[in-house]
Amino acid sequence: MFRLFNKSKHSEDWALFENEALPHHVDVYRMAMWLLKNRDEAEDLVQETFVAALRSFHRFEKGTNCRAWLIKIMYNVLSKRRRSESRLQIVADAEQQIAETVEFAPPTPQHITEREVLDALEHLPLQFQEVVVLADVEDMTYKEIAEALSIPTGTVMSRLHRGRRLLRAELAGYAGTRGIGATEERPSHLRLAQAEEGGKSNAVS
Amino acid sequence: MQCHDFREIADSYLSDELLVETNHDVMRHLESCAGCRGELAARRNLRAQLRTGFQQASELTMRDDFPQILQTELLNAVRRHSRSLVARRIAYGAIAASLVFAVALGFRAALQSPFIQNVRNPVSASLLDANLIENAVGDHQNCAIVQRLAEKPINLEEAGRTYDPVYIDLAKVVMSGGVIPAGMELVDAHSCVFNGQRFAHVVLRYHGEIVSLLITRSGSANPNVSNVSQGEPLIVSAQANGQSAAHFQTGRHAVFVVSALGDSENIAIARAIAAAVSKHIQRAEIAG
Repeated sequence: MFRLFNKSKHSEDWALFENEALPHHVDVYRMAMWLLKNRDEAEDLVQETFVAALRSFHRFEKGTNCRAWLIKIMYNVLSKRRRSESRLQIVADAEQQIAETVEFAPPTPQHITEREVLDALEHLPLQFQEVVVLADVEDMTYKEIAEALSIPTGTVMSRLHRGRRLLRAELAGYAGTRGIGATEERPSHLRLAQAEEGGKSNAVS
Repeated sequence: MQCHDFREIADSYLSDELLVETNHDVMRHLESCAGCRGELAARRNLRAQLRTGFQQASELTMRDDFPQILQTELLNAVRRHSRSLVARRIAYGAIAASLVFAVALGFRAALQSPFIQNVRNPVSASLLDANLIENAVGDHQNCAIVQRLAEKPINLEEAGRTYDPVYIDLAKVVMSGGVIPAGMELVDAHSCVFNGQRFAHVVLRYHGEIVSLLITRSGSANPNVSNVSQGEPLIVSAQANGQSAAHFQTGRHAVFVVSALGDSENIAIARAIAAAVSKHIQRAEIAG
């Protein structure tokens, strides 16, 4: 690119931002939409995220994962909003309960559709959905996820392990109802996972 | 390694997160266990489906005009940020404040000048074609602000020899003592093309804001060059795309000062440079 503004910081910043950060707006929007389930709120969140990212772009380390950096900012913005709106409700010990009950490990069903995978994901408690999506869709590392969600890396690893297992079990239930898999009835821990949906909605909405 | 052990760590194996030794154990187990090979393939497939499903879900897709809305919002943020920096700098110094006051008095005097009009509608405002004004504003935004022109700008002196002798020594004239307001600095000088219109483009910075001085041919000699009267050209200000475009004309050229500083400040800059620049252009037009 023609370097016109060797001395013009804001023009340089904008050009860099346009190249590095802006192309990720599709991924950030998808993540925002997944979390909020509301188009207007997701658009507001994405705009606020990118404006915040632009302001602090000087802190972005070139060569690191810009998408992960943007998602971290998105979670910060979301977290501030939730605090200010006092809408965050803690789901009591969901993680601990699930940790204690998720032992059943059915084989991963093979004849499932992408829609069924997404539907199954929706049935997981939000804290498990988040880490599974950030790791398996957004390709973020444990460290990046830990920074984005402000939780320890060990918690990311255990949530991811349990989240993937819950997802497989949920899908085994789907497959079972269609006569594909082995499970006739949903395992007990999934009933728990479904019971957590109320908590999940509270945490998001 | 037993099947149960493998299934516990299969996801970590897929994510390449295991130690080398454990990886070897897994591979040895897989060689001899068709069931676990099938499980590994199913888990790999599940991840791919999750990714594809997520990326293709219609309910997660943004509306078509959102990228444009986002970009506009960000450009506005850039502008606001730039202005707030200016405001902060001004607020920091009493000396700066007094200078601002002095400059403000100058603006007031400038606005009262019979040679300046300040009109918002570019079509009715100007002696120039509205397209020409829009092209000048477009060049300022696409070249100076976001640096996204289709054609690479070229050296101003080289463009002067090839396209228009008016461009030669233009930067020197602008930067010679007493022409531009104090505190204004040169960022770059070149010739660029926007929307098919070639400009001499002198990029300046004033109060943290980018200011473009643009000169282009305005077609045939304009009979309204009464525009240049008693050595002082008539300066007209128009607004386009949120930018102020103060401009005046010589015999065959149009001169623009474009920025987001606002009409008054922009006109004051145009007024400061008008005499020297129009004299330089007229000399080249006569010689040409």
